[in-house]
Amino acid sequence: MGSLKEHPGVTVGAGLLAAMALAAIAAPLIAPINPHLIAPFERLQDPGSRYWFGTDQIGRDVFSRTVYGARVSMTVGCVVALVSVLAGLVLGLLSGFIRWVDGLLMRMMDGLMAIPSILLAIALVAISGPSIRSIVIAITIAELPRVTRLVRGQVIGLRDQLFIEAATTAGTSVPVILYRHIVPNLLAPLLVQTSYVFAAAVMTEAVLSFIGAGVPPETPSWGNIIAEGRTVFQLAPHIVLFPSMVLSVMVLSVNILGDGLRDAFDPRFVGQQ
Amino acid sequence: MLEYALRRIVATIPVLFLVAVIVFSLLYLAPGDPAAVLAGDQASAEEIARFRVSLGLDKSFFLRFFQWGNGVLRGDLGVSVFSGKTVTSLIAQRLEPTIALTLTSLVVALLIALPLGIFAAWRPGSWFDRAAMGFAVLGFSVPVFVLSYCLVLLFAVKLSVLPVQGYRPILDGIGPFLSHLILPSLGLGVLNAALIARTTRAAMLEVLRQDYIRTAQAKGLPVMRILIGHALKNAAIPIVTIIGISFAVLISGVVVTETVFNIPGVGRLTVDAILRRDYPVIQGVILLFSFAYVLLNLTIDLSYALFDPRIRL
Repeated sequence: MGSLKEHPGVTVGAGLLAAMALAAIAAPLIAPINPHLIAPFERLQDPGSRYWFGTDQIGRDVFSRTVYGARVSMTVGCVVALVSVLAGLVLGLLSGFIRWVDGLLMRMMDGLMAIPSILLAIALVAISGPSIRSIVIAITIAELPRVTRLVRGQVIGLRDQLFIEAATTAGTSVPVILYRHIVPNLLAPLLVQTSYVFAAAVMTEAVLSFIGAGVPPETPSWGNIIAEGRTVFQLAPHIVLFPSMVLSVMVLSVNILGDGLRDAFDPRFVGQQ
Repeated sequence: MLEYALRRIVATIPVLFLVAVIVFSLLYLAPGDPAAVLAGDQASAEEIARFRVSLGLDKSFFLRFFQWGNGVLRGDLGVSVFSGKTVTSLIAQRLEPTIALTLTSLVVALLIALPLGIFAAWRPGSWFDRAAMGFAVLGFSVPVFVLSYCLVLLFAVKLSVLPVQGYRPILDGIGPFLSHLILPSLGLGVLNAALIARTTRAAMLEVLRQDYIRTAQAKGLPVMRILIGHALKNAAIPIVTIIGISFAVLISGVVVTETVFNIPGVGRLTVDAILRRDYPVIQGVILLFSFAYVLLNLTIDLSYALFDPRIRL
């Protein structure tokens, strides 16, 4: 692996993502107006010096709501990425090393992967009620099979390597082999996968909120803001367009970061994909 | 060939069964009482109890699964809690717009993705290749509703050349039918094209390195004949596979696109069912889409034999 600085995708993606994370953390300082403040006399204002992204149909500041919306996306993205990668790591290790577990787990994963992830998330949120917690659980379950399969594939590839055979012959216990020899070799592909899961989670949360199966309407999230702006789109397209652009930039920056990390960790990919 | 086809068909049956088990079990995964969640915050104890009976949650899991599975095999997906109509009839009424949108989006995706992927691979590293792959990364990153609203703003609101929303059945005439489908298909198809273009390029790059391509070039064959007649045919398997996988993206996109363009299809039915907490409808639609996805991928697996004669042996 060369220096990460040699891969502009990593620098650009990480820089954009860090800027958005900072904006989310410092939302109360950055947002000029309370995102919940209703101002009926200021409704549907065009973007300008006072309201940078304009106002919505009940006079709320779209810029402030967009800045606060980053909190929801960041929270969902980070938690889903962390939980699904950790759970996928454990399940993939078990699957790759214990044959009877492999058969059982992989059939379950086959079934889960046959259901389009957004539909699976919709069903899970529909039965558990709209909240950030249920969204995180729903998207994690939908993303888990991909991570598990990735880890399992890597473990099976590593299992037959000489250094693992040597460790087994030397009497090293399975947990130690997994911890000392297998897991360190999984970190690079897992890091790349984490970025893709993060991007997918942010996108899925926005879609769920947009169709009314996401975070409760009173919470400003990008999907919610866009859904609310839908009804007055022809009159005030800014309500939909600004959060849409920010959402796209966030997903784009994570995808660029993921592609950059992949190129950095595996030079065979440079110029291939 | 027959053995290969039979093996693939038999392997699909347990997957379909697993999908049915998962879709059915989802209701039992809910934290707390799913009947209370689905009945809503304002529901009284009597209403919750009635909901529990109508969803069959008062019966044992296995008995309920057996009854439900038996119904599914006969085409009975249950009854809508909201309208009292059968889920099968509700889906059947909404199927035409969804099929039309899915097919036109797939056509748009292929028309964009194949030329992009093929020509990007022909001259790797060129400005065209960079632009095509830039488009692919952008395509992964822009949610379908964002692109759809941009298209509506430009073509329907600013230029007024296409309708903002709605759907016209094909029986109303091919003109209105297509004019109402252009923007939704573009929104959905362009994003799907990103996924297919990337795989097409990677598969073509692999094939274009082969000796027989160099021989074809040395013989002085026209570029198009080399690309389409020699390379594309041999790169077909990964491309066809990704088209099958991208069907899942298309299905998810249909739910959103039908909401943006107010198309009365199965996706819109799903969104309405979510807002009304009509779980039998949600369950039925998910089962239908998942079965369609599995069966489409089975068809694609079977089609491999057309592209690679070795599979027929």
